[in-house]
Amino acid sequence: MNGSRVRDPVSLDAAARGRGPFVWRFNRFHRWTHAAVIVSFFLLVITGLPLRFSCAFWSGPLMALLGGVESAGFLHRVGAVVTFLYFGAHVGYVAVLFVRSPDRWSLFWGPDSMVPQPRDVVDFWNQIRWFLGFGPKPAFRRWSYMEKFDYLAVFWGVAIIGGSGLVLWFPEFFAAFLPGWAFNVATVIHADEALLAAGFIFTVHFFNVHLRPEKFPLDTVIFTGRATLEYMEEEHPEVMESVKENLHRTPSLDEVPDTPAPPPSRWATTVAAILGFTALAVGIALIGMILWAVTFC
Amino acid sequence: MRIVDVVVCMAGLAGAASVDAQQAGGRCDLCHAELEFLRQHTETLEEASALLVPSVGQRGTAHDERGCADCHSGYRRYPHPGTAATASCAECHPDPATEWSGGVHAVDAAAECASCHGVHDVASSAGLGETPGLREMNGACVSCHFEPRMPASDPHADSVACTACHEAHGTRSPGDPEAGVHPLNQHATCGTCHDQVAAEWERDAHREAVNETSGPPDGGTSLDEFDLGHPPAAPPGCTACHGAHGMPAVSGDGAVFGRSVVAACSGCHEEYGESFADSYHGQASTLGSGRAATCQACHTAHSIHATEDPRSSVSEENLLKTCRACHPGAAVNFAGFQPHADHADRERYPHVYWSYRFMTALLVGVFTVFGLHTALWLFRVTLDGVRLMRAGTGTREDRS
Repeated sequence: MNGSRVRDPVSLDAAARGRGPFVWRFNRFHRWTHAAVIVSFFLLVITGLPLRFSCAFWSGPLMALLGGVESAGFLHRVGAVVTFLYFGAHVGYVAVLFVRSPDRWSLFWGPDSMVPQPRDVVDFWNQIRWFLGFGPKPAFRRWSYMEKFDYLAVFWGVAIIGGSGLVLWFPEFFAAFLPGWAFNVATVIHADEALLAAGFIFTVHFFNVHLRPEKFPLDTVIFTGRATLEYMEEEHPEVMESVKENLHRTPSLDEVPDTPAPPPSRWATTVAAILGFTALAVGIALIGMILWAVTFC
Repeated sequence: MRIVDVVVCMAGLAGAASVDAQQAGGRCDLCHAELEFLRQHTETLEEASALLVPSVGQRGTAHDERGCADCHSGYRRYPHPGTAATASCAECHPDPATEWSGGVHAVDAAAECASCHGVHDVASSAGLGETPGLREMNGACVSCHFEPRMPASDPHADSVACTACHEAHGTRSPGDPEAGVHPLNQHATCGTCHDQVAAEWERDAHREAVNETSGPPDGGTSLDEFDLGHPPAAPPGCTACHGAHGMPAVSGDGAVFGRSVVAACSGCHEEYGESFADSYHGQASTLGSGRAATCQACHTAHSIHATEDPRSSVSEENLLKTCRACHPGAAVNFAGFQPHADHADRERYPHVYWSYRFMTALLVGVFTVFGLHTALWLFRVTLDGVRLMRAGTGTREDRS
């Protein structure tokens, strides 16, 4: 610092840093769905991990903390039900958007779609070039290729882990039309795919959205639904056209994407910080436990 | 002690060189129950203590009906003549004495009658039927045999005497092929009480192994000591699975018993123990589930047979029935589950082998790609940050 410049204290929250005003990015449906994902995912990982690594020193105490194997099994199934519920709700949400939206195919193709497109391959390539110093940082659209990967990974994960989990939950039923070895295969797939999911979320996802130096230590945009203009400029430059068109509007609580929003309330900021930091801490602790088990068992 | 007795005793001893014990009324206790008195007439306290018989005249021992002279003959006069002698127990109890001379306690007279039975307060074997008597008797064994302990968690603690399994008088060491606790003889010894189990076990594959064994193998007293090499140095007796002292109760905590069974079976059937530990049944039981199946749930406890044997609970004919004991609604294919699948065995478990291979490749691939992605990102931002700091600026606006 050269000391001549007076700066506002830098916010801990990446979404609140830089020039304003706040702009809407996620509506309440997105936020509640993501909250359900967080809660059920942690519940599933914490109750499933000790079984996967029953050989590790920490699995016994963790099981005891969960009230024993039977109790952990029950909680795991609760997590599964929540997962199937949010998954169903999201599919329903997309269906309603599709029916109601005048420009319905933009959901599945175009700059605002979650579906991977040639542009994402270009972005990925340019990102690698930027990493290596061969070009500028690519300008992302509304959803970067990393966000699309995270989003679609939930579909893949719920289908694979959820499907194999159902087979293992109701083996007596599935034995009517699946061969016996399917239960062995389901065990392998369920365990390893879950390990992939947990390992990915608690390292790659955490780094991409919270822990990389630009955002460290936390980005609460998924909890409060809004981020500063400068944040949007940096993370998603290609939506700025739409944001600028709406800048003249008065900040409102209507949660319309790209329109100005009032700053999140103190209450919302506090809840978001507690939830976010807790999730980060627990996730990183779980990574430590996984690494120990993978190395020493 | 009443004052008159003292007077009589003192008078007798002080007054004459030779006193007929009759003069003291045949009352050995007049002298031998009084440490203070004995001390005055001996050189050392130890000598006095050895002569002290505090229980003389008390009742409630097995020798209630016996007088001092029945064992100690020739002591009626004082000073006691040189011909006075103490009879051996064998004179009245010849059979136990003979048994004893063939047992391990007779070697160097490691333990004699009195070591266990006491001397003057000799206990009655009638007391063995009740806990206090049992404890007293087991206490006599423990006074020398501190280890192995019999923890209170053992179902036999406080209800079964040491001598129920270990010969009372002709006690043999566990490695002795004639010992009741030798692996070859355990079925008979334990079968004394557990006769149904012993009968069941007569038809078990492990029993066949016992029958085939020739020559005196080495035995052991507990799972730890039991040598279960390949091939086993000893056939599996009851203790091979149940353990000896401190065995968990079958009716107790299912998880504790189940884990002990898994540990015992895995001692010989190592690869099955490993594949079991990798299965859901194994993981859940390791973590304390008393419901998850352990070895005996599928293989039975005492009627174990090879899978190819039609009598086996896991034979093709019986497998589904066995699964249904816990999974009542299991459909036909249910029994096709491979509870001992090994993901490294491509020949026997191709589906598990290939799915494990695929999943491993997927995990390695994803974490490699995204690990690099993350590392490169960190590298780029760190490098840019260092440059900005060197340039003396650091605001977001300056980055472009």
